[in-house]
Amino acid sequence: MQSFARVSALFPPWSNTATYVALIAAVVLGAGALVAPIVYARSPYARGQDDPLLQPIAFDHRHHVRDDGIACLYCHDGADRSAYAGIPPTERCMGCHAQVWNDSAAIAPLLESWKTGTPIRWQRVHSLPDFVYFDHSVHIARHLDCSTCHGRVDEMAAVYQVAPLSMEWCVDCHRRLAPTRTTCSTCHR
Amino acid sequence: MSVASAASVAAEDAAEEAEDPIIIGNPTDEQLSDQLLSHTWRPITRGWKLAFLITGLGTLMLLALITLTVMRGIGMWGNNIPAAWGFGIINFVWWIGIGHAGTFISAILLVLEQQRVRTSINRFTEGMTLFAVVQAGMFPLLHLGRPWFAYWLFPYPAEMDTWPQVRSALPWDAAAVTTYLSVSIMFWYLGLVPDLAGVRDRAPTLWRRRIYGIFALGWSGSVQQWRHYKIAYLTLAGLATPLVISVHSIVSLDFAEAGLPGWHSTIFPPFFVAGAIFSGFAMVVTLIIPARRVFKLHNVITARHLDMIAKMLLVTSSIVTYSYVCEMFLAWWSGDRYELFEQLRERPFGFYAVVFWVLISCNCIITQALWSRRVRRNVVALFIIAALVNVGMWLERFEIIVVSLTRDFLPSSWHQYMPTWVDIGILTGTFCFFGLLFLAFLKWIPFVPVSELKELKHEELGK
Amino acid sequence: MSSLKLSRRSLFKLAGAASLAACSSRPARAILPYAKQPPELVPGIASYYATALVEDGLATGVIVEAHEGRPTKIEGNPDHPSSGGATRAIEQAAVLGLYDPDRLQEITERSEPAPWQAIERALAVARRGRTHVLLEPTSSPLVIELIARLRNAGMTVSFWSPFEKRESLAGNAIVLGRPLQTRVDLTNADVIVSLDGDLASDLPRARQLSDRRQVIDGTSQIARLYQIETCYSTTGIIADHRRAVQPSELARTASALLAGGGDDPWLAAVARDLKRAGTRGVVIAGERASAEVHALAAQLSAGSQCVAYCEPVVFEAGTPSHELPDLEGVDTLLVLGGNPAYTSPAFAAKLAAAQTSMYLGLYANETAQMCRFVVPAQHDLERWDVARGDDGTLTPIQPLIEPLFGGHSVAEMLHALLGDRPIDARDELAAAWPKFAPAMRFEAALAHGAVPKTAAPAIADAKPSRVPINAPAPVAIELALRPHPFLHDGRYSNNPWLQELPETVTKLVWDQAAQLSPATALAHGIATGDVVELSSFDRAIAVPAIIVPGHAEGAITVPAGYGRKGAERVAREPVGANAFELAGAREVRLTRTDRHIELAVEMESPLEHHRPVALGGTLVELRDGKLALGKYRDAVPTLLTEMPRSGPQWAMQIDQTTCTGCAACVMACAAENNSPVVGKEQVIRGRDMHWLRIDRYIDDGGATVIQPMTCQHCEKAPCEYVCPVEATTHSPEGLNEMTYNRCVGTRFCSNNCPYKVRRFNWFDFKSHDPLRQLGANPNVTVRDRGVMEKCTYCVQRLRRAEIDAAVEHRAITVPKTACAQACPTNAIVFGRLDVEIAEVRRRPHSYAELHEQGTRPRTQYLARIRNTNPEIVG
Repeated sequence: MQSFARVSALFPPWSNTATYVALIAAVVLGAGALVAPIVYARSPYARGQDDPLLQPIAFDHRHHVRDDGIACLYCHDGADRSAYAGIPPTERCMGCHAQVWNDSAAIAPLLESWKTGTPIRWQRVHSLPDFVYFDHSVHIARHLDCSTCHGRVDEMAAVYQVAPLSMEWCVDCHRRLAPTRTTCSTCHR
Repeated sequence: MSVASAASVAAEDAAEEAEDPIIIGNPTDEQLSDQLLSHTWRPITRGWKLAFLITGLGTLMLLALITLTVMRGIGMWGNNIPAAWGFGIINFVWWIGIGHAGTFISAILLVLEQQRVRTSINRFTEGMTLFAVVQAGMFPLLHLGRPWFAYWLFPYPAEMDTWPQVRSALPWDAAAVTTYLSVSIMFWYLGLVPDLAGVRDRAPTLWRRRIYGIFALGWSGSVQQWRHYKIAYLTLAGLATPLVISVHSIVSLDFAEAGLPGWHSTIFPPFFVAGAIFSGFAMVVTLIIPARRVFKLHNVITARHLDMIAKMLLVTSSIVTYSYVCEMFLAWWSGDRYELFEQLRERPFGFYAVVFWVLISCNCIITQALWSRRVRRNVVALFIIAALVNVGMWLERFEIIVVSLTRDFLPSSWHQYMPTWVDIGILTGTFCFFGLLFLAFLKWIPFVPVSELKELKHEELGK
Repeated sequence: MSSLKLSRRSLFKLAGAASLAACSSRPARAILPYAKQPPELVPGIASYYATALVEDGLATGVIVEAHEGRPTKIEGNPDHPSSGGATRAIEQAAVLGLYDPDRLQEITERSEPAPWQAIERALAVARRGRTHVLLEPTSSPLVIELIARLRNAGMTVSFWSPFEKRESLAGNAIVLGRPLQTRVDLTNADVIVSLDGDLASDLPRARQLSDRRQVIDGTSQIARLYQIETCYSTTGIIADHRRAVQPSELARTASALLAGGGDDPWLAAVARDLKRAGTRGVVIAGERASAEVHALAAQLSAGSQCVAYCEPVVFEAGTPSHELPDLEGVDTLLVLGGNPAYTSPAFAAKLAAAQTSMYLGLYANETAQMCRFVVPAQHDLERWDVARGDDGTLTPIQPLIEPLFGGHSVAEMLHALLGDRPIDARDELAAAWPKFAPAMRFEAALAHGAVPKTAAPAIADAKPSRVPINAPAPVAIELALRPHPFLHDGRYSNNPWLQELPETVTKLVWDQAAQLSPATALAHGIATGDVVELSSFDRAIAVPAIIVPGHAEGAITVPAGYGRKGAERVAREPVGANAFELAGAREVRLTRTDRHIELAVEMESPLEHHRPVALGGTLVELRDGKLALGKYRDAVPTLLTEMPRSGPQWAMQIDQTTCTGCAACVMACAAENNSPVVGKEQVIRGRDMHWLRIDRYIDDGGATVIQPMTCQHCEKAPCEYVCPVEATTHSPEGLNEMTYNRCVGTRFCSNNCPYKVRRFNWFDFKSHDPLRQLGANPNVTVRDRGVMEKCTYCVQRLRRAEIDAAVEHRAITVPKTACAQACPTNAIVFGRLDVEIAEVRRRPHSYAELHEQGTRPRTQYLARIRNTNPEIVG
């Protein structure tokens, strides 16, 4: 037939294969475009997990918690009464470090802060969006251990985020442990 | 007019129509191909250039205004509390309504009756459907406060462990519109394949043949291909048929689901579907009359085609009129003070009364002229009536949305709605964008299904 | 993760590499702990301090909430008699006034920055010359001591505020022989006749009145309130009978009442009612009524147990020192506070002529612009001071925050003028304290916010004499120059919250409008929005008019506070003129100009359209069972599923009988919930952002009813099932929750809300000014554009109470919503459905708004019950 001849003149024989490949590629890429963000959002990378940040002072929790036996609440003293666990003021660090290791170069920024009264700029490790109202105190009051969410900080040289801190993760626990506290305004208001 | 005389007129018409041809003359297959395909490779004339320029500029304006809205916020529109929906949703419903005629003509008539009348115009109306749905599809997205989160309306495994709410009509709406759009594209494209192959085979230059060749997907016209094609086409038509009904039914639930006086009504789904087909057919007439003239298609789009569409307009106009009466009657019958106020006081005599009377004139009164065969056969009259129906149906959506919202339960919250220049610019922009797409379609795509027409011709003349 | 078990050295390497590669998806966010944390402060826990806000020398005790040292919210101090725990809208908005970027930020001399030494030098010169000090009225014993020293040093001192207590003292001087202050106590009042009284802004009286008007059922014996006034006020709204008269007609009305009502049947009925009430009847007059009216009111109230007299609380009030001085021969003029150049245009000319002038104030206002030296003042929340409440109660004032712009106080200026060595303000106050209040230690007084039993004693022998009082003759169009209910004399005009707060009766925001009755408007061919010219002799102002049904015929009310010409950006925005230009004028000529202005009126329709919306009736109807409200209460069948319930079931009841519509709740809500200000254009477009609105309806007879309207927290909420993303959901405690961060902004919820109480962020309305942001409540999300918002029942307070209860292992202490806490009349009650709300909801006049819609709202209303006088028809 006439049209057959025309087609073969227009396109080389490999164009059939190319068409199939293009079709399959389109399907795969399309599906990938849907699935990739869903997978990415769950990756530790996207959530900032397992990523120790560079802090102005190389504060080692292993030493302070394990070696010195200081309890979490000694420094993070808001945890059992406030929404924020709190980062200890320079003053509290100086409670010990005025006497011990006060000539170490490692705590020079601390001494500097104490002298000038300027705060130390710690890098935030656990960060929630502004529209999430998490309250430490009620979780402590419900006898949740710090390590439930923060992991074994006593084994960390530099603190990193262990939990995904995603809504899925929060809600999952709430469904199991506090079924009446899954309503939206528990965290969003 | 009495029922008897109406019936006799109808019978008379039917008798005359039986003699009316669907194709005038007896062109050969080659002649038909040349007449209906050659415009795709003929050079662009000055008139076309001007038309492309105007619609292109309008489309650019649309893009600019969309950018402005997304950058600054939805407050660029005239919406407020209480009228939280305004031009955006009116335009959405109107465009999606227009997008109904195409599929109705193509699919329902194909499935139901194997109507021969549809043949010459189905591609045309499918194109119209597609481009209207493109316009319509923009609005649900744009009218959101935060359009970048529109995907939350679709069910996907969110890391927030959240799902769309199935009790709301809106996720269904999103699903229905996207389904309708994809089925419309497939249906339209599948029908195009043999004709794209026709252009491929006849186009004078190699690169044209190559481009059309790619889109023709290697169509050779073998018996086997035709067999598969027919099965696929009918299957898609079968799929598209319920969609025609479902899309606008679901759209109507966006309103009927609410408790608002003027919205809270069970007749909305059939009422909306009828209204959609009404406005869709009106738009077909508005577009096909100039196209027929420009492309000199009087032999394939004949007076009989127009006559049939005009009758369809009359039927749907009657259903719509019946719905209006029903709404008012139900308001009175219910005795609900808010419904009564909305339907019988505010709509006909309130702040926006002019909207009511214009829409009643356009949708119910002027269409009565279509009882007359002379009017139905008068191209100019038909064009004017159809254009007015388009206006009337837009105003009907304005009435349903704006008048209901601005006059709800507590008088303390009443507040007038006025569109901004951005609203009007975006509506105008969609006309241009629609026009641009439609012009491109007319220019480069075979908009009369040649292969089907040939088939029809052989059937007709073979009798 | 094994790679993390590293030595400190290699950690540094790793971290260094990490920072180079920046291999984190997270933006760097710093945490800055205190270097030295104040011992009383725990980050995340709000602290509360008692202090006071002062207006015209009188203190209103407040409790201020502060987060990490930032004051964010003001509540009334229940221990302070001038507050009783309530506030006006003005107090609620004071936080925004603190964080006002337009405040004066540095000392200037002839608009050039100058050091404090320049002020000291100028004051040293002033000390030796003829110096006049113009102060705002004061009750501070600290300042009074300094005034005595100034006078001893040969300087002259006077006081000025346009709307301070003046007429009442003058009136009392006529009948009592000296300017005594009237003290009204409505606790035992049965019949109250108010002559242009403004009970709504008098917090203790408002509370007493509402306590006397609690309708439990039809047999309740409640006080009856008559209001005779010119301009529709909030007192007029709650009155059982109201009559609108020209301002000068008030005196004639009072005279007629004294004569038993005369031939006016209405007045005769009132007079009889008053007589029947005996000592439990009282006639009170508003501060804007003339001295004659006050004298007549005192005569009418003679023998009433509700009225007593005491020495004025404000220093030298009612004496000539409270008039503006004639500056003849004065070398140096010190204006310490106030804005006399604006509030008295006549004085402005004299001020301009002063050789050396110095101004202490918050803003570069009209007066500051005319003065050579300008010193930024301290905001009430920034200073140490002491003042007295309206009843004389001694009130310490303590700062919540260091002065943001290094402001100075009046006492500091006076010390400098006297050549004293600088003294720490707290130390000075603490040292002087035993003198002022020997019975209470300074620290205890600070914690308490008021010193009990320091109110001015009643003067037992003050008995009004029956001297004849002459009433003025009527005029064609009489001017009523009034303080704006929120902007007062213009001192709060730079507060955008107050500018955007709808005035209760007119519903007007942002612009000035002269109010007049429909008939007067018709006679002059005036429509709402037409600019009219008001003239008296050679003085004239042009203001837009607004037609208010119920306004007195032949009178025009012009609010002050507009036509500001200072450097304050917000205050300059509204259309309007300085009403003080016409101060003192009684009769004005009213002419329409060709100009027309679109006024931003928040309610388009004033009518109820015969819908059962704001329900009400008379006490007799309630007693006789004619007020069948049962059909607005019982459950309606529904298709919606029952929501699971657990925990306390929150609910609210709003009493339309005691609600005055003072709008304190609206302002409190905005302050608590970080509501943005949108501006006039957006209000005209219908995009105001108040979660709580005061609906007002005017019936055919011109009577006004009001209904606070906010999210009703429907048990069968229409908004919930239409949201495609479940951004608005139902909590087990019955809250209709709004999750902003889930909202995509379809606005379907608002469309389906029968009460239209949802608000949408059409633009990015939130403030981007870092100073303004300091005042935001950190416990409420600041909403971004594109999301819906609405009343949450102050869910942040509920969650706080729950968490506190959980942490302390005790039962929950029921918190108050911001609106309920601010309400001066306790018209809004919040609590648990089966505990706090149970009794009020059982009352026969409790009803659900739009009950037939089947929404089963948790917020319900007590119908407006009028205790009408059976002798008065209509």
